[in-house]
Amino acid sequence: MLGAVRRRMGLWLGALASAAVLGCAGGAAPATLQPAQPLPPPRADVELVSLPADLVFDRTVGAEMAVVFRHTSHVEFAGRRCIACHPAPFRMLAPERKAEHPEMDEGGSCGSCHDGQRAFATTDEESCEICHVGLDP
Amino acid sequence: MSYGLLFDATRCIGCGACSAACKEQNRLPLPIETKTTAYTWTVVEPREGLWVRRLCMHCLEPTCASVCPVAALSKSELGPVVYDANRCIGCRYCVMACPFGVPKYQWDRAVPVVGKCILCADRIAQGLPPACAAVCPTGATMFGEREALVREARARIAAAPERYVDHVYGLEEAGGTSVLMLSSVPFAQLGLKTDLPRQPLPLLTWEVLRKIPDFLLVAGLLLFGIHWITNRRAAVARETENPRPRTSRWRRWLGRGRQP
Repeated sequence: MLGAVRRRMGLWLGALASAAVLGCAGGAAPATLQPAQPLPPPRADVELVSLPADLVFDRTVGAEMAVVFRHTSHVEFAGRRCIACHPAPFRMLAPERKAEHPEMDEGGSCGSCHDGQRAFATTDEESCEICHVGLDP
Repeated sequence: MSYGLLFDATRCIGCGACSAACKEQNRLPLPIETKTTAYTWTVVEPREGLWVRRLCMHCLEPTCASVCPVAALSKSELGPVVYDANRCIGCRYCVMACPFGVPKYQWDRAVPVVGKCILCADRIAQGLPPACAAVCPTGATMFGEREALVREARARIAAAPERYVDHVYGLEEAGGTSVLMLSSVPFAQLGLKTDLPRQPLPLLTWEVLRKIPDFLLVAGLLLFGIHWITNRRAAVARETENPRPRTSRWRRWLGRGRQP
């Protein structure tokens, strides 16, 4: 009888200890790894030989309004840090062929950089033709 | 047919495209951390003015797979060392065993598993290069058959001996790896281990383990033999009803034990 009670107590103590350990493990905030010092900039002395081809957004109002996105005009601006734009907001392997003004005007998509401070704003009416270059006939 | 990667540290600019593509391909949560974790399977680290990738080396004879008690890790025929989280019991033996310190544990989960680069095994099976190699803008990470990559690496060294250390990292390290590396500075300065044995690490345990069946057989036979002889002697003593003294000659010689 007494032995059974002891065994039962041992079980409960074990369960309590496990719960405490699990609780600590689950409750602790995940440690985010912050760089001790900012990472140096990517090297500039190596040629970018295989940047993706230009992306053409031609579902615009008329072909003369089509947008051509060029990696070459963006990577140096972003300091050759691909992670500035990838994988968010822009996916790399399966990119969305969609960029709409309402979204980017509110700071999404292209608007996350083209906000009027880091780069010309997507709402800036004087800058339309910088992006809307149109397709060559 | 075994595939692999060739990473050329002289061409890596540290743009992080490999990390970003890895996150996307393997549906890993952001952010991209600065060291490899269970959620960031590859990073680029600055060393000596160069950038060096950290990722699973995909050993030809992986120690992680050798020690895994439930075979959650295995070397596939196409080259990748793949991981099956459904089999994993979370013992972390692979984390301890890997000579390159690659597998990482989900320390922040209540039911954690391990995270490590799987060389985009499903992409390779579809005939595609791994995500990191597909997006690398400088060609620093190159995908191909391992033999072809070894030839390419040697050709690069031969073409510009002043530019490279005369060594292909991964050719023999820990018995050879599917990921090969080239560098213009000694590999130790890139934070890579250079004191690894040239033979596969699982060979160390195999040398012991393969003797165990023979050992068990011989020892079992020996013990059974002793048991049989002892029983036989006791049975003969009972049958003859003339039990000899059960004291051994050795004890009689010592002057102890029962005397007849």
